[in-house]
Amino acid sequence: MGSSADGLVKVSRSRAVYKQITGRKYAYLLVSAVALVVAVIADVVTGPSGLSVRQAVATIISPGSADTTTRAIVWLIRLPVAVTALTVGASLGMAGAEMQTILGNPLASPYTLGIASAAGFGAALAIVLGVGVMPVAGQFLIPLNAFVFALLCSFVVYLVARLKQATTETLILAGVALHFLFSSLIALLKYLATSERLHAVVFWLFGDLNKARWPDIAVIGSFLLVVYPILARDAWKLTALRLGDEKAESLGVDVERLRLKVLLLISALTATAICFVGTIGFIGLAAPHIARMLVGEDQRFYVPLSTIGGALLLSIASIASKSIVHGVVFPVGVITSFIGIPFFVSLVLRKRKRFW
Amino acid sequence: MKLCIEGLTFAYSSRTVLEQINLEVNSAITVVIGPNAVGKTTLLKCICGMLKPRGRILLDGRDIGTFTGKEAARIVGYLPQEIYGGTALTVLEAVLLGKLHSLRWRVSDDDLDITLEVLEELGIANLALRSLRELSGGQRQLVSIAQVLVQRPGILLMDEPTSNLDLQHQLEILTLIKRMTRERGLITIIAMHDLNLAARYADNIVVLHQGRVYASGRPASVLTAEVIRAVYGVEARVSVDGDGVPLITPVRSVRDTK
Ligand SMILES: Nc1ncnc2c1ncn2[C@@H]1O[C@H](COP(=O)(O)OP(=O)(O)O)[C@@H](O)[C@H]1O
Ligand SMILES: [Mg+2]
Repeated sequence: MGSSADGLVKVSRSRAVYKQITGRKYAYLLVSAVALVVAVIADVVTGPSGLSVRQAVATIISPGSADTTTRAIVWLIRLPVAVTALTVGASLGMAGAEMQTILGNPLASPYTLGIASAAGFGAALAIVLGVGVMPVAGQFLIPLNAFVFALLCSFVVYLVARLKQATTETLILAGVALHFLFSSLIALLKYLATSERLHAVVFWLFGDLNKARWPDIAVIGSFLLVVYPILARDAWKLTALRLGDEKAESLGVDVERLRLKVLLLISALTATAICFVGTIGFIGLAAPHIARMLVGEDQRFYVPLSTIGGALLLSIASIASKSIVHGVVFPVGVITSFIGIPFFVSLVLRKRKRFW
Repeated sequence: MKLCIEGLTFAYSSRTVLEQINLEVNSAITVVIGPNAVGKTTLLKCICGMLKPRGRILLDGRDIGTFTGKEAARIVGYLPQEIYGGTALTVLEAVLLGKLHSLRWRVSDDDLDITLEVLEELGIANLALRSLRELSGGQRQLVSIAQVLVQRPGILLMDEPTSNLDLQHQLEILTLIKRMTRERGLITIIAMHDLNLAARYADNIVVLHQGRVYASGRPASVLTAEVIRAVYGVEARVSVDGDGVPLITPVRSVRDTK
C-alpha cells in the first residue's frame, strides 16, 4: 500500500519535471507556427499591386468569390512564391538541422558539403551547353541536372568518408574540396557562355522563388512529407548521436549506418528543394542554430522547430525581397546572402562560447 | 553471472595493445589498473563489443560477439573515459537517453521515474533542468554515470569514473556502485588510476603491464611494493590501515637516482 502510493507520487513528480522541460518547447513550436502563418499571408499580400489581408485570405480560402484579376494575382503569382518559400525554407531548415547533427558540426549546412555548388554546376551545364544527364528532360532539364549533381556530390562525399572511416572532419573536408571543384567548373562554364546564357546562369545561381510552378512545389512539398516521418522514427537515436559516437554505440546505435541513411535522405531533400529555385544560402545554417538555442537538441522538438524556422526565415526574406525597393523584386538568394554572411562570421567568432 | 575472457588479443592496425589476456570475472567489483596507455580503455571497449578482438569473451558461456548491438546495450552499460559535454540537452533528457532502447515518441512514466530516481540517488536531481553545457566537469561525470545506471545493466563497465570528482564524490560514487553491485549481482569492471581507492573498493584487482595481465587477485595480495615497482616504476611503502585495506604511499620514481 505505502509503496504503491509512494510510487504514484514519484511518477507524477518525474512527469512534472519533464513537463517543465517540454512545456516551454511546445510553446516555442506553437509561437513559431503562428508566426509562419502570419509571414506566409504577409508574403502573399506584399507586392506591387495592393492587396488587403482580407482579400488575400478570402481568395485563398474560396477562389471563386474573388474577381478574376485578384484571383490571378493570388493564385498565379503571389501564392506560388509564398508556398515555394514555405516548402523550400522548410526543406533547408530540416536538412540543415540533421546535417549539423550527423556531422557534429555547427557550421555544417547543405552548402558546406558542396551540395549547393554541385547543383549550381548541374544547372549551369544545362543552361550553357544544353547538356543533360537524362536523355528526355525537356523543361525539367535544368532542375533535373541540378538534382542529379547534388546527389552525386553527397554520394562522393560519403564514399570519400568511407575510405577514411567517416570521421566528421573527413566529411567536411571532402565537402569543402568538392565545393571548390564545382565552383571552378561553374566559373569555367561562365567563361565559355554567351552573354545571354551567362545572365541565365548568374540568375539561377542566385536562388529565386519565382521559378517554381505548382507542380514543382508539389514535388518539394511531398518529398518533405515523406522524409520527415523517416527521420522522426530515429529521433532518439539521432539525439543520442550528440552524446558522442562511443556513447551512442554503447547504447546500441549503429552509428555509421544511421549517418549514411540520414545523409542520403537530407541530400535528396536539399537537392529537391534547390533544383527548382537555385542557390539559397544561410537558411540551412541559421534555422538549426536558432532552433537549438530555443529548444535544445531533443530531435522531437529541434527538427520541427528548425523546419518551421527555415520556412519562416525564407518567407521573411521573400517579403524583404519585394519591399526593399518599391516595384523591384530582388532574387531572394541575394537577400539571404546579405543577412547570412554577418551571421556566419558571428557564429565563427562566438562558436566556442555559446552556440554549440 | 560470470564473464570469461580467453586468449584476448587486440591490435590497432599493426600495434598490438593487448596480448593473450585470460581473465575470469564474476559478480563483484573488478578494478583494472596499470600505467597510462597500457590498454585499460581498449580492454573495456573489447568487452562491451565496440572493438572486435581475437580470442573469446563469454558471458555465462555465450560469446559476446554473437549479441546484437541492441542486446548488448541492454546487458552492458559502458561509461566512456571521455565525456562529451557540448550538447544542448538538459540533464534529465541526457540521462533519459540511457534508456534508448525503450524510448518511444511519447516518453513513458516508467522511464521518467527511473531517471529521476537515479538522479536522486546520485544527488543531482537539482540539476535536472540544467543544460549539459553549463555543468562542471565533475557534474558532467555524475550525469554520465547516471546515464549508465538508468540502463539497469548486468555488466557495468566504467572507464575512470572518478577522475573528475572531488574526494567526497569519489567515495560516494564508489560506495553506490559497490552497493548496486552487491544488491543486483552486477559484474562491475572499473578502470582507474588511484591505487588507494582501488584497494578500498575492489573485490579483485587486475594489473595490466605491457599488454598482459601482470597480476590479479585480492587487493592485499596484488598491491605489493614489488608489483608497484615493476609496473609503475615507483618505490612505494605499502602498509595496512585500520580497516585491513592496503595503503600505498608512493615515495619516488625509480628514475630519480637521488
Ligand atoms: N583508436 C586508436 N587507434 C590507434 N591506437 C590507439 C587507439 N586508441 C588507443 N590507442 C593506443 O593503444 C594504447 C592503449 O590505449 P588505451 O587503451 O586508451 O590505454 P589506457 O586506457 O590504459 O590509458 C595506447 O598506446 C594508445 O596510443
Ligand atoms: Mg584509458
